Amino acid sequence: MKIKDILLRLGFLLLLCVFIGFLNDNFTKTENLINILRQASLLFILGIGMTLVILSGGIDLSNGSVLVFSSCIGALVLKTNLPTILGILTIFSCGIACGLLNGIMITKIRIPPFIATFAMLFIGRGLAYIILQGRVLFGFKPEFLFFGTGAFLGIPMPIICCILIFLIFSVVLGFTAFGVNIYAVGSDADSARLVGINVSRTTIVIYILSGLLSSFAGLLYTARLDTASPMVGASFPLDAIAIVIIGGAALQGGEGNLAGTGIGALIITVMQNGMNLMAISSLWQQFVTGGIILTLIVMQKCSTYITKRTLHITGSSL
Amino acid sequence: MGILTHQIKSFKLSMFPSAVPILISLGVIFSITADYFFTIENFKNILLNGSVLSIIALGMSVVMLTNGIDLSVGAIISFISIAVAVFLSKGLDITYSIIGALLVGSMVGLINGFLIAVFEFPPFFVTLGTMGVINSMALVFSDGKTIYWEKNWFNTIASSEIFFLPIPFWIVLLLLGFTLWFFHFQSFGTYIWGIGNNEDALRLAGVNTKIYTLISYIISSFLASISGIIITSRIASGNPTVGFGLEFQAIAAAAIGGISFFGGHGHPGFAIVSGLTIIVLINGLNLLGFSTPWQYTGTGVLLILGMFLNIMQGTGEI
Repeated sequence: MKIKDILLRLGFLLLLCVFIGFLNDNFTKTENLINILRQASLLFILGIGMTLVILSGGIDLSNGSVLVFSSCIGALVLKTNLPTILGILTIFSCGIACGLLNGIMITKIRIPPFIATFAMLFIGRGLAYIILQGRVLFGFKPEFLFFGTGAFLGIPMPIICCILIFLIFSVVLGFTAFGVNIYAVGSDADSARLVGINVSRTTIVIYILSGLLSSFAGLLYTARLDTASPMVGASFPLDAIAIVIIGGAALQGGEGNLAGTGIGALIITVMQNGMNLMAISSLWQQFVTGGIILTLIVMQKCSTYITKRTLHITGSSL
Repeated sequence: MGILTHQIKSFKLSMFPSAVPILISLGVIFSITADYFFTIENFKNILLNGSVLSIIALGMSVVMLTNGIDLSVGAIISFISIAVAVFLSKGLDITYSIIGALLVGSMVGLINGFLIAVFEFPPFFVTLGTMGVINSMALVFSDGKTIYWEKNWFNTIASSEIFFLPIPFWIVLLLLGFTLWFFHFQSFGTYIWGIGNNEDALRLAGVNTKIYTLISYIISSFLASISGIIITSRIASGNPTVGFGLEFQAIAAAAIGGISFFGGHGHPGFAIVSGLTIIVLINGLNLLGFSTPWQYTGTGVLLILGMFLNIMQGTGEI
């Protein structure tokens, strides 16, 4: 991932903002911008988990189901008289358990990530329905709802959580051995094993982190809507994959970064917000997401081609 | 004919993917436990329900053999459903409506294949992009509503029978025949397997690999269009979300049918069988009185078990 690719996407985002702001005055109002950030933060948290997984050359289709499963189990605990922290810990441990199971299926049984996490998608959502018996839980304690609706220093909690997670994982990816291992495993798992990286442990930890982040998104989602329902989140895996792809990651692994994913989340959210402001039917939203993906891969290809041609003409070699 | 004798000589029982033994054991278990399972009516029901998944799994397996993936089939099914409904409600002749729908569906495959084979964009990105675009077009053309038309013989295509078997299953048998013909008596199958194994070697041997990659995507979307027509005829209306999630089910069916995720290994004929396996599980659980969430969970467990058995005996990983 070169700085050029990030600038390309940042430019795309800025153009989009200027374009929408020019067409609609309400876009640049503070409330609307905060609203965009709040919506993007949830998507971005799921996207961070997906970025880690895709960097390692895998894929996680189960994040929507893990979100639903952990928030529904957690909601059962939260509805009792036990302390809130216990409910939150339940949510996290469910996410970790699902991630661990994914990781074990992928590394120990060697099921392809696509199928393993797809099976988890079915199991997680099925169990959430079975345990809640089709009910929807609502009316949680205020100290839990603070995570979704509260604000600290005037900034909504979801945005703060999202920025904190982004900073933590940027440090992990950029400045720790584990981060380097993720890129190494994604680039070439065999070479990584030969230089002494424990590939299966790294992979399991990645899927655990992905599950944990999904459950964290579930916590924010439940706290914001004051509802735990087994029905939400069917489109989350594809949304998350879309923003990671828009962010410039390569699906075969080893390429991509969190900043790109963040820009991807903002591009999608700004687009949807702009369409809502201009009263364009929501039926067009998937069209736009698909269109952006196709446009960006074409742009990427063109820029690579032009770079190659320029190098060829000037005679310089890398 | 030399190829065929070689194939017969080198045939081993372990080449059977887990879908086959699982299908047989599920059949035995449900025949004993569920009262109505072993009846002709129920078998017809299974064949009718299984046809749709089997057909798209066949298309998906051809694409996956070339080391590609086609995420747009679910979207194509939704889109074809709307296209047929629009044609019929505008009073177009039924035959022309069907031919028109098949053409429209194949066009999507042509676009996919063109972007992937000629421009060498990653299949996952391209088909994720077209999936969004096509899904949205189905919603926009139908305005998000279900479309009905004057009752005519189109509605009875899926439910009527020839020689005691539902028409959709005859289509499956016909496609199975075509598959065996193309993969054992024509060079086509060898090329498809070859592209997945070693595309460079095949190209150096003088085969135009791009054309065959392109054709595999056209096949996939053409078969998806057939499924779309069958579904539309069964529900007697055009529904813009009818194909949601079917692409992943098709990939799962192909995977437990022994198709390798890295291309080149596995037989597309087994994808047809594994489509039936999934439907038999759902049907049996239904007859035993398990609700949809249990069927969800069961499908997930089936996928893990199927992949586990495949990997144990080395199917699709050779």
